[in-house]
Amino acid sequence: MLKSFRLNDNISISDSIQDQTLSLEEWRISEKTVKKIRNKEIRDHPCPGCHSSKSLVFFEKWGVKYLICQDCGSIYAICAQNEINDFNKSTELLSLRESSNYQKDAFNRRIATWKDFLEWLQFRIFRFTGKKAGLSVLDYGNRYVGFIELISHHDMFASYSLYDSIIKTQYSISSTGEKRYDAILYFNKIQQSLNPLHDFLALKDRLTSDGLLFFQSRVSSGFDILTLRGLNDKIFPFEQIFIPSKEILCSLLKEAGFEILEITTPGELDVNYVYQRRKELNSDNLFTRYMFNTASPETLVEFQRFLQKNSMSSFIQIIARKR
Amino acid sequence: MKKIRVIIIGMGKMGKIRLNAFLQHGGFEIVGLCDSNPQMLSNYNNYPLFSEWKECIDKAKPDAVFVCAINYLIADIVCYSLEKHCHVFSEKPPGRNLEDTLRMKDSFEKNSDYVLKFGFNHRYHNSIIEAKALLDSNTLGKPVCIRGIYGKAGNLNFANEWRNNPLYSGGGILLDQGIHMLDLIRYFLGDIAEVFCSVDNLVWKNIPTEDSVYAIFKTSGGQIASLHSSCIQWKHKFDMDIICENGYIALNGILTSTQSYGEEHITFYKKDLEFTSGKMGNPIETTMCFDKDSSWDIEIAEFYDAVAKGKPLQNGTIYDAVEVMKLIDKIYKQKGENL
Repeated sequence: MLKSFRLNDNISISDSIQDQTLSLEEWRISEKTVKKIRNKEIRDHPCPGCHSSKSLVFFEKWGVKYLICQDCGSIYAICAQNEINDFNKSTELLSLRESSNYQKDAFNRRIATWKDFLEWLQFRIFRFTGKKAGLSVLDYGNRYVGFIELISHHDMFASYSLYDSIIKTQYSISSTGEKRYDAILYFNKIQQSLNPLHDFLALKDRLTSDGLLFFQSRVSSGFDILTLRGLNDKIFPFEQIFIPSKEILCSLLKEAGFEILEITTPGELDVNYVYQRRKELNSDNLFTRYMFNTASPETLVEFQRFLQKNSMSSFIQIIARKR
Repeated sequence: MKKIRVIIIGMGKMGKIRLNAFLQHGGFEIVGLCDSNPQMLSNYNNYPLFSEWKECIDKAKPDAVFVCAINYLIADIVCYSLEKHCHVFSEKPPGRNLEDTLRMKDSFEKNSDYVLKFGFNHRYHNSIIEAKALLDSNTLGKPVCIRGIYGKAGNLNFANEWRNNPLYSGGGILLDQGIHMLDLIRYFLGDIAEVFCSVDNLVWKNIPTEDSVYAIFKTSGGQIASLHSSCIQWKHKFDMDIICENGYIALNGILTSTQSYGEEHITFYKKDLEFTSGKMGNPIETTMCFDKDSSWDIEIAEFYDAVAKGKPLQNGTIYDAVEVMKLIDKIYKQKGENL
């Protein structure tokens, strides 16, 4: 089986995928929103992945407790569905994310990655189906106008549908209906799920008989996730309330009727995220502190490659086929 | 699932690998194992055992025969099996020489209702499957040249191995191992029109077969390939570069049961004449690594589907075998008339 897929080796420790001011603004609005809608009466609940109740507190952010499941290793926030819904409907947050500044910044910083991704997508679709064109694709939750434009105009797709996105376009659909698609892009959505198995079953129903699911998410075994805990700027309520482990993802996909074709962790930013917060690492985290205080940028890039190659980055990419 | 009644002739390393693949697949019923050396059969008492291959075919009456025997027996066993209306899978090489292969082709054409497949197993390795998908998808444009190195380390008993006795083997390192890379060159570029080569004993002076073949191939379309097939690499090595009009593919290492050819991976990149990567002369590379060799299972599944479901063979046909043996024949005939 494919052990690793390094999407590319063009890693730089100083890279960022978002403007600092925008990032802080998104963070500020999210915190304000979470504190406003937070239901303090919520009680601990089992892991959304494996339903185990054996867990330890991993960190707490903005009054929301994150637990790490002792059975499957997933990380999850104690919250309710209506809190996630209210968070997603926050007009201030929506307004920022729809703004031209936000979209322009994402476009400028991510355009090369998006183009690389589409070439890779075309290659993988051909690899597993032998098809190069005329495909239908359902895109879940994509919130970047530039990325939507690139996918919707790509030669390989005869039809493109956008579902559950904050962006309203001519491709938007309000319901997935009964139509079946050759490919589904399901990026990061699982991170807001309290019932991932249900979501995977729904995805399977929307695929053609040999349709492919392209899945991306953060995973709980990733280097920055486990090292930074609550210091991680990229994990916050209710944007991420479920960070599954690689193992539970495999198990849930199989249970939902998917054949996993490949699993890789081509993430490029674990080391970057830890590097940014290196001075705040726990004082007993001796090796990590030593490495980040003394290693050259080249060594840190090499370390990121090691994480990618050995499935230890926190960004996971899965291709699965409907069985 | 329909069961194919199968026998294996030759229970050395390859016979054992095939037996495991049958068990893994589940669509085969083993009705006989055969080896002239009883020690090779000592762990298989739960199967009907034979020491003589003809007797095994005649008595076991299989649907399919797997030929994992020494090279000089291959053509005889394959032809006899086809005449007995059995499907046949034979390990490479397809005989000792082109004459053997053509004899099998004749026999197949007289019994063309039966499947005949040869074990050009490298086509089923993950890195090769990915490379073929890259080429077929035209992601990097048309392949224009290939450089291949396939080398062995050798060992203390190397000079005395049956593989280096032309009466048994028919040839040296090229026929034993280089044949896989020749098959891959054909697989990626198509049929070869011209061959230039040097066949030598550069170090192992006292063995009757070659220890090194350098060969250059040209297709009718002008694509070029080079191959160094060597048993004087002094370590196990598998490397292939494929240069395309718009990019490059590197295949390094190949997973084997001993893991001695290193980690199997494929790296590819697109040409980047404007240095958009930000690094002059270093395009952004993509690398894929593999940790499991599924080649035996995929190969067996293709044979099963051909026999049980009538699906046409994609790889390892008698025509692949003839074309690759024609190249080997040309190379060996040029020995002494080197580059």
